[in-house]
Amino acid sequence: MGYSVKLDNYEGPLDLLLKLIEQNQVDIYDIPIASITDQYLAALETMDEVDLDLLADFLLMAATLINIKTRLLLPRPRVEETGEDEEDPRHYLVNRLVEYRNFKALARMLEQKYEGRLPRVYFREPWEQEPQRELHATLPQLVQAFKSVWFQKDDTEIPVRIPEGDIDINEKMQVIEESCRKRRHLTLQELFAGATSRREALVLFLALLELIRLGRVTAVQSEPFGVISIMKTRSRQNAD
Amino acid sequence: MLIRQELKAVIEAILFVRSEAVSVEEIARVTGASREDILTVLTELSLEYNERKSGIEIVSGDAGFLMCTRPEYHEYVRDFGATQAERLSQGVLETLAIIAYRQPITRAEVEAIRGVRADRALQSLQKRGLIREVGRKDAPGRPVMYGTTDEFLKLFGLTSLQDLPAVLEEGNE
Repeated sequence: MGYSVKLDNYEGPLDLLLKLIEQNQVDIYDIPIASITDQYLAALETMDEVDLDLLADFLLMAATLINIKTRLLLPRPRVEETGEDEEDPRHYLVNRLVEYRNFKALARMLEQKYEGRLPRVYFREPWEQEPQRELHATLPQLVQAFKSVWFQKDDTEIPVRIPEGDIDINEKMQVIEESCRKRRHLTLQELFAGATSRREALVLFLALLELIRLGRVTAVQSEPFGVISIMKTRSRQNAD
Repeated sequence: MLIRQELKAVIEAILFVRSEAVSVEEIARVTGASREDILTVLTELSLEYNERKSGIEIVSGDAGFLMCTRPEYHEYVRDFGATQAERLSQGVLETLAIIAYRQPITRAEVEAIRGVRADRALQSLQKRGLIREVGRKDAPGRPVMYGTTDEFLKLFGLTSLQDLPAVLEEGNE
């Protein structure tokens, strides 16, 4: 049976297996392991470029399938006391498939809620308070503002030297974005108020520049020499 | 001191202007009313909305109270243009569903269910503020556990986690 399937259309090995079970119209609780394994392996061979992690996951499942297939070929010993057959070697896999299938269905329902195809509620959209006279802050203005914070920082620096851990720009970027989410009006001064050292202030500033470059936040100065506010850019960026 | 009817109106006005949950403490701060009075009035207000099938309802979460549209009228609100334009990828959605229903849950537990690595999906969800770290599991390595945020509820039009679509039968169809 030559199904041509493209691996990159599948979320992973469980997804591919579910698709094969569906295509073959077989009972998930009584999977014909031999034929499904063959089809699964055939699908693996059509793979062109899959990232390495995903490939490892697909191969692990291939090994699992072959293992089950082998165990099914061997006669199953009866458990002496109970007289019952040993557990079906497919059992564990079937449970995982059923569980994953449930979550796929739940994900579909969530998606329908999201898209408004299922009854849902809507919340008020956060409204952005656009400054009256919008004037985007320029880089020199930002640097100027940073300098003023920088020199202030000197006085407030903690006298005790604590070994400094690495301050991560990515982390600071998250902090800034988080603060912008929480407060509609975050001023540059407020942002730097929390910095305990010059080093941290510097990293914060770099993180801010990076966020502006990526277009994730906007720096706005409503009047020359006025306070610079930082706000989240209304984004439509994708989840991936 | 505000009389009861005024307090109700003030709370209604406060809820109206805010797009995020308003806590009882915040209301107490501006009105000077007691916690009990505020809660009573909020319940009354919410009941009034329900009785006359208002287009608005008041829901409560951990963070406080906020207004949202009544689900009965969701189609009109959707067609009016309140629908999200961005699409979530399948992998991200599945990961989110697992976290929503099984929270708190570790990355390894998510991966065990989906059969693929989840770090990228988790990162993306975290970046969008839909999930957050809620603690660490008492297990070797003390792995981080994730849970959903209020932002998640809002984006999916849920009034609380209890509002999640019912879990399907484990086992038979």
